[in-house]
Amino acid sequence: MGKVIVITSGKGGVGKTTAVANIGSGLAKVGKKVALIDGDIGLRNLDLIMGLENRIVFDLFDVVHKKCRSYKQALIKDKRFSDTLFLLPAPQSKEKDAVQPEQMRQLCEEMKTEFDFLIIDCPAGIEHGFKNAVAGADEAIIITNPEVSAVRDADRIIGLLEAQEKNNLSLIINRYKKELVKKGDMLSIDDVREILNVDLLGIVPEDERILHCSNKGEPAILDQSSSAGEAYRSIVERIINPGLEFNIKKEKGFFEKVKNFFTLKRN
Amino acid sequence: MKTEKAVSIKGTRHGLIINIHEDEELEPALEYLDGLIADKKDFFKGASVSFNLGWRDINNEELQKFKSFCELNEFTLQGVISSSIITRKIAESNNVKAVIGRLGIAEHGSGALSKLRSAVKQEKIPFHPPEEHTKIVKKTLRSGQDEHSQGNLLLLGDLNPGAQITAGGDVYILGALRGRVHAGLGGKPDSLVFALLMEPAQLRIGEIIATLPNEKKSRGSQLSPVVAKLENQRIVVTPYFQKLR
Repeated sequence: MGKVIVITSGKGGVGKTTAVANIGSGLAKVGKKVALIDGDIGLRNLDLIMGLENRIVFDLFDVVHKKCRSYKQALIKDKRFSDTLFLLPAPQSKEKDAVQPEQMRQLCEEMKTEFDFLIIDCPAGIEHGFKNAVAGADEAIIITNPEVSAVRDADRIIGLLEAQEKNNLSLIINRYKKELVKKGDMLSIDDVREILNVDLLGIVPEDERILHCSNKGEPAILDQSSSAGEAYRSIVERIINPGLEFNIKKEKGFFEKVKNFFTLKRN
Repeated sequence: MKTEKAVSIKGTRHGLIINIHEDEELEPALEYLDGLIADKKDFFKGASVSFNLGWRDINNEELQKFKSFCELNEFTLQGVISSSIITRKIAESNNVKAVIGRLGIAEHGSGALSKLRSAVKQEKIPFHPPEEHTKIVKKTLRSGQDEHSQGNLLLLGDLNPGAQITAGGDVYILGALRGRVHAGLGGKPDSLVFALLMEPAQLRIGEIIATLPNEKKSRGSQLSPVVAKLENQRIVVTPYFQKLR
């Protein structure tokens, strides 16, 4: 029985789709059977980031409204992985209310019998699109940037998730820039954790390589020269082994501090 | 207070509003009204009447008195205007419309009756002398969440930016105050706001508003319990432990 994880943020542009692509690819790479579901109806991006857009025939709308035989027809197999990574794309020409939360919940129930992980890309906002994306989820990963608007929106989202009794929550702080934090222009990890008070899953640094990867349709986790990719590799390890001690690799400064964040749990 | 001053009838295009001052006993007030109407029965016949009770609390028995008064005089009881949530609940449970009215009898007018038409169920903050109870909320309030108390409010948690607390009396936050607080809504001038960490987006006590200057907020948030109070129409924040030195 698989786990259904929704990746959400509230704010747009903080790195949800990138996270879905990287976490999904990472899990598939170590042999887990993964399906990515693009929940952003009308503004789909996951297919682009994965480099799979020209293979789309059926999408989430078709599956839910029975315009194709089953979800299996709509899934696109990513050939870079050996039968472990699939994508269910969103429709581009429909609107958020083309699908209902109950339909999403049923689809997740059906699909989780075949997959180890279902990873759902949630659209920005707190309205219908958000409700659809979280309906079938067991867990949520909240993505935020160390920046006031992103944190404010993440807090709202966490409040909404907690109100729905979705209490299996973890946090990824994305686009972290140590120099800006030192200068005081960017919120520190502690600042963010103080407010959000959710278990920290990982910290992904700002990385120019991400742009290159999006353009190529190659998730950064497969790119050895991407620091963001490396951060995602650690995140995937922690998803598979919760409670894993962080591996200290490079300069003591950044990683030593980061290790402390994972071992300290704020009540 | 002389009954004549405590009770008055105001005509509006929607009907009559009968104002009864909060300090007046109901029995004599209604008797006096009977007297007022007695010799003008034809003039008043069939009128639509609302009772403006200000912040007075009434019970079922007293509401029945209003109902009987209307029946006897062949009035239609439109409803009750009151800033007391108790009175409004009693009215509603007896199938009488209830509308939030402003503080005290001095401020009333035809505006109040037009509110009656729209069967207000909005969560307007009532102006009401704060009760002496304290509502206890045991969680952190996140962005988009609000809490309200007619009396005081004790928050065992943080008030995150984007969250809001309103209270008739004091607000005590055993955590970080980073959101918005409005204390002393009931007009209680000595309302205070306590917090373990005071970094509000906006702080209001009564009618006075204050906000943090836009400099950098404290890093590594050292807890520093403080109390905010009104002094000479300004909000003054003092360390809680000062007195002990």
